[in-house]
Amino acid sequence: MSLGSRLRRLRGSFRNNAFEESMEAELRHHLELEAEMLAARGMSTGEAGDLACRRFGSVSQVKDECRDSWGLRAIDACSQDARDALRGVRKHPAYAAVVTLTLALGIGAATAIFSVVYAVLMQPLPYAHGERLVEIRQEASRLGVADAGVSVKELAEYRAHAGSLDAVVEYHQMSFNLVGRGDARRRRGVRRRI
Amino acid sequence: MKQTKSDLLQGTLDLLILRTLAAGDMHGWGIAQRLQQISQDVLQVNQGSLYPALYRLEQQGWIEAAWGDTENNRRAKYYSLTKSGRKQLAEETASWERIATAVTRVLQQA
Repeated sequence: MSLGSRLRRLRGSFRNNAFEESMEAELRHHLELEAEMLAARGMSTGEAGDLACRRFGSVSQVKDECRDSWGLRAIDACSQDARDALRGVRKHPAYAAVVTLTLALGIGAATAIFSVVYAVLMQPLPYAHGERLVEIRQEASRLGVADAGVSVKELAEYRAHAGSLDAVVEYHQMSFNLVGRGDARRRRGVRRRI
Repeated sequence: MKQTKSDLLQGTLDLLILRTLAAGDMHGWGIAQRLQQISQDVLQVNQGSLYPALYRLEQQGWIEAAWGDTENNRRAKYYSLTKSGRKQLAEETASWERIATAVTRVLQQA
């Protein structure tokens, strides 16, 4: 799209039906008043109408110019604002830097928090039909344990009898001894039992 | 009697509109009439060219428009001067007078 047609579209968006109707009514009212005044001076209605139109000039050209002064002003105002802003930045660089930094930190923080929230809460799990995944937990209420884990036998039971599930997978977290060349280290890890 | 009619200098139409509206709210046709009467038909405004100027002045915030009823109960768009319009009028009047004085002086001296 050329710059010219882009500008025309931008200008077009400043216009609307209300504007067109109002302009139409305003110009019609003008021509009526002028014709009435001329008729009151003794002209016939037809002559008065013709002269009123002649004195007015081309209605369609006037309309175009009206649209231009309405739309172009808005564009002028935008570029004027941009120039004012740039001048302000150049005049008070320290202030501009503080404002920019504040904005940058604010936007950065918001983006970072959103990324975490999105990844943790909103992003679907990376499996096919993530919306059908469920988590099964066993609790031992009398022992006061909320997440008691699942034994191999229990897993087999679930697989055999939980008819509403296509498949069951178990995973758990545990600590390992990691022995290398130096001292042994204790490491936590996740183990999956299929 | 044949009269010489002067074309309006670029930019003077704005000044004349502002000055006319300083006398009170008016619709477009009223402004055109007033300009013609007061200038004793010397300033011949192509009546249509008044409207782009009015729209421009409204966009600049110097005048405001509102639809109202005329004395014979018709809808008309009335223009009125805003506060910044009054300021603009004062500034433009001053600069016009400066230029007019300067031009007169040159014409008399040269």
